[in-house]
Amino acid sequence: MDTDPDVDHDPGAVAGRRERFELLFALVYEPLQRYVRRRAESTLVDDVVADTLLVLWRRLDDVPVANELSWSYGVARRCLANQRRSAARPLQLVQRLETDPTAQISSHSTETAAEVQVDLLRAALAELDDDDRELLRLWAWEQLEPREIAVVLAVTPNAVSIRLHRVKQRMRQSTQQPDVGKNLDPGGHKPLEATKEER
Amino acid sequence: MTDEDLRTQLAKADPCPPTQPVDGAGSPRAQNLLEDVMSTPIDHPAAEHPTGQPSTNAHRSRRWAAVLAGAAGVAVAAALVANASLGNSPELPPLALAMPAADSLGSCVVFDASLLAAVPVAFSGTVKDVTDDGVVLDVDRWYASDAGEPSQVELSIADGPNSAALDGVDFTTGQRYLVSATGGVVNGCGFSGPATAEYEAQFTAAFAN
Repeated sequence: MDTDPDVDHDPGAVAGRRERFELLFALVYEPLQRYVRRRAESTLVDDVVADTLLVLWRRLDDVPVANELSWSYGVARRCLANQRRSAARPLQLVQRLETDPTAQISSHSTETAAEVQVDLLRAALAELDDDDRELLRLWAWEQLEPREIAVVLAVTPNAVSIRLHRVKQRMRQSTQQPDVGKNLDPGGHKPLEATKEER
Repeated sequence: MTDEDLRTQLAKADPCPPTQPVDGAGSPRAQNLLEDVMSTPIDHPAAEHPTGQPSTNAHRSRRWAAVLAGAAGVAVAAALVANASLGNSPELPPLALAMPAADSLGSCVVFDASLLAAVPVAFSGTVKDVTDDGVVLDVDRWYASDAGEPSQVELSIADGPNSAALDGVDFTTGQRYLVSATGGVVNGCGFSGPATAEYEAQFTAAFAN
C-alpha cells in the first residue's frame, strides 16, 4: 500500500501542514516543557519534548480541536514512558523517590511549618501509584479539568472524576498535621470544651 | 480542606511552578527545534535527532526508528481497516475471553513491548454492545491469535462489583480498543486500553515481524 498521496508531494498541503504545526507549537511548547520537567530528570527533558513534538508533527491530523494541549500531554506522557522503558529501568519505589523531582524530601535539620507541609505533600505523592499520582498532578499542576484529564489518560471523564475524588480525599488525610498543643491553655491544661464537660 | 486549598498546598510542591521560566516558543533554540521537526518527512524514519545533532546514543536512534516505523505501520493498518473483513473468517464463532476479577489486583509488571509481543491473543476492535454479562467487540485487526481470527470477541465480566471496567478503562459502545489476553483472560496493567494513535503504534511495533 502506498504512503499518503498528498503530504510531501503537494506544496500547498505542505505549506498548510507547516502553518498548522507552527500554531500548535506556539500553543504547546512551553507547557510541554513544564509538564516534562515536573515528572522527569532534567537530563531527559529535551529528548522527551523533542520526541513529543515529532509525534505531534507526524500525527498532526489526529490532534483533536479544542483539546490540543491535553492530547499533547498524553503524547508526552507516553514518550516519557518510552524513554524510561528504553533505559530498561523499571523503577522501584526507592529509585523513584531518588529520581522523581517531586519526591525530594528536605533533609534540613530545622524546617519551618511550611517546609514540613511540603515534605508531607511530596511523601504523600510518592506513596500514590503511578496512575493516581499522574491524575493528581494533572489536576493540581497542569490545572486540568476531568474532561481534559480524560483526554490525556485516554479514559472516560466519569472514570477520572471518580478516581480523582478518591485521590484527593486520600491526600487530604495524608497531609493533615496533628495540632498538638494548639488548643491547650498555657501550662498545658485541658481545653475549655473539656473543662465544660467536667462541670 | 477545600479543593482550592488542596490545589494551593500541592502547588507548593510543584517542581516547575509557573513563575519558573522555560524556553520560550520564539527563542532561537525553539525555532531551530521547530524547523528540525518540520523538516522530518512524515512518512520516512528520521535519520537524526530533531535537534539537528546526530544522536550519540545508538539505542535512542533505534528506538526512534522503531517508533516511526510503527507509526508508518499504523497508517498502513488504518488503510486496511476497511478491508479487514476480507481477512476475517465470518464463519468462526466469537472468541470468548474473560475480564479479570475486580479483586485480582496483583502488582503490575512494567509495560514492556517484548512482553506484549509474547501474548498469544491481541487485537483491535470497536465495542458493539455492553451488557450486564459482558462486552462484545467487532474486531478490525488481529495482531496475534491462537484460535483463528473471528470477527467478534466477547468479554465476559467476572462476578463482583462494577461494570465493564479494566484498570480504570471503561469499555464504551462505539469506542475502539486494543486488547491483549493470556490464558483466556484479558490483560490489564496497560496491556489493553483505548486505541490511541500512540498506543496503536506500540501494538504494531510489538507484533511487527
